[in-house]
Amino acid sequence: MRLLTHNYLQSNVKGTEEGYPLGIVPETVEIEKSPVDRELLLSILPKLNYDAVHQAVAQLRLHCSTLPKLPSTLPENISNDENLVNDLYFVLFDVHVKNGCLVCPATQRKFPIKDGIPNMILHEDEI
Amino acid sequence: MDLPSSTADSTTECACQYMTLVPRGLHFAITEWVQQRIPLHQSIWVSESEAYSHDDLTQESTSWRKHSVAVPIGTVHSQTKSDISIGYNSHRAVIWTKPGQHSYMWWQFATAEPASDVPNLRALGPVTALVGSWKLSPFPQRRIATLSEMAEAIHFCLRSDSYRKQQFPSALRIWRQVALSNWKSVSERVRDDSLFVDDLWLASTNTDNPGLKFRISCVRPDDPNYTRRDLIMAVANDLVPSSWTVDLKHYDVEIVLFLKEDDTDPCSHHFAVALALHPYQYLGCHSFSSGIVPPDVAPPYMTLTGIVRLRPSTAQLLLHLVGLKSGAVVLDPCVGIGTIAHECAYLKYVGLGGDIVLTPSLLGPQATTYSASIQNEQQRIAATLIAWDAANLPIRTAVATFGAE
Repeated sequence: MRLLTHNYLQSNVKGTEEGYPLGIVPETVEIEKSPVDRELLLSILPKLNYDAVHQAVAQLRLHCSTLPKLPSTLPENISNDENLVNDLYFVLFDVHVKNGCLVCPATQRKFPIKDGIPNMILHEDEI
Repeated sequence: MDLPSSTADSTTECACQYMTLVPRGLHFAITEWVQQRIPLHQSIWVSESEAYSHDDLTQESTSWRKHSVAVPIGTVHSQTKSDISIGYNSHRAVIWTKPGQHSYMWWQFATAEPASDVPNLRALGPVTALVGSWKLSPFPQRRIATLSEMAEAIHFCLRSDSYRKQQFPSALRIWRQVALSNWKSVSERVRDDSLFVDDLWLASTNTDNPGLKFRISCVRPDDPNYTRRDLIMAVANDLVPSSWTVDLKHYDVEIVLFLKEDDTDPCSHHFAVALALHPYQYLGCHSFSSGIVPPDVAPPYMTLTGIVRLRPSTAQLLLHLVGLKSGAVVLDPCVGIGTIAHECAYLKYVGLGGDIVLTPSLLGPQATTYSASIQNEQQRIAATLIAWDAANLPIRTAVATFGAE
């Protein structure tokens, strides 16, 4: 599971109002390097919740200390900061949580991640 | 791109004849060819390509910039250090410097297709080597209506010296080059030089020379007047040398017939003959035009035997038709093994896909294997898939975009 995907996911358990962003408890994290696609990164920024990215990276740095530190807020002219562009692309596309779980911030309900696929299927009583 | 030196056409025209239908973009096909022929020492190569119609392509009028780089023309050198790659032209002037330990390939590709159709070339079916294409309009007042009329019109094209002495042998040489270079195993017949002489029809009169094995497939809209099989049977004898033998399963060459009505001329059809360049017979599936397993392309798709799935090229075509911009999020709520989500990467969309069958006990493990193969064998981004219930999507609002932006 990439952090880009994590950025879009929320808990849909019945009655949950604050199911985003999901916490990450990683067991296995892998880095799969890919060429930085600057155009793609800049085009996805409008749909990105940067606070969630920042929080997710902070959680993963406890498990993987080589992750870059991101600024607490996204600067307006990010396109001028090549290092930040590269770091942001890296954390969104190249960092994969292979095993672990996602945690609902409101209910602490855990959604397991197995082999990179988070399981967000709800139980009958949660729908 | 390696092209047979024995053809009389220019390199550009040969390329046009060769690359008539390209899976998942010119980009992939070009990169694949180059990487198989040039020893690359860097771990990551970035290939950038652009296609131009002959209508537009002149040295003066065409300028292609990719971000801040004016795409270089001619010989390009690159040097990769631990954190930067540098490109030079033949005069050792720096063309680009880019962060990251990878190098770039730049390609311009010229096609005979009109400029308006060039974007669509990136999403169409499998790769074939075009033998020839014709416009069939034998009747001034109407279109061809019956099987016998169609067969007669096609016979006229196939019985020409041009077809037998130039078009078919030329395409067959391209086919053989691809087979020997790209297929993991080929029959001894394909390695036999005597079966690939210039005058195939004359050589076939030698009964000691058995020739290649072939099958014919037909891509054509349904017609109530006659079936595809009827058409194939009517024209088969003129398509190939007489020494060739039919084998529907263990064939060497698959000949594909394309037939469609002309949208702009009510009295005409378009007809084309091509040789399929992917070894479907070795990959355990049927053929170009039929079969459960999609015939366009190579592993890793072919590792998923027994699973019925959407063709990657069809997925690409669907994504093209939506007409989104780079960075758009494409949501597939019933993604299955992940085809649509994975194809998004080629078009720089963000593919977000999930399915209820992607749990560890169902298709989850196979989807993981498939994603890994895309990442490793095709060296492109595979989408993250999610196990979810499409009736209760766990997606925050203001993410997915439906339709054109």
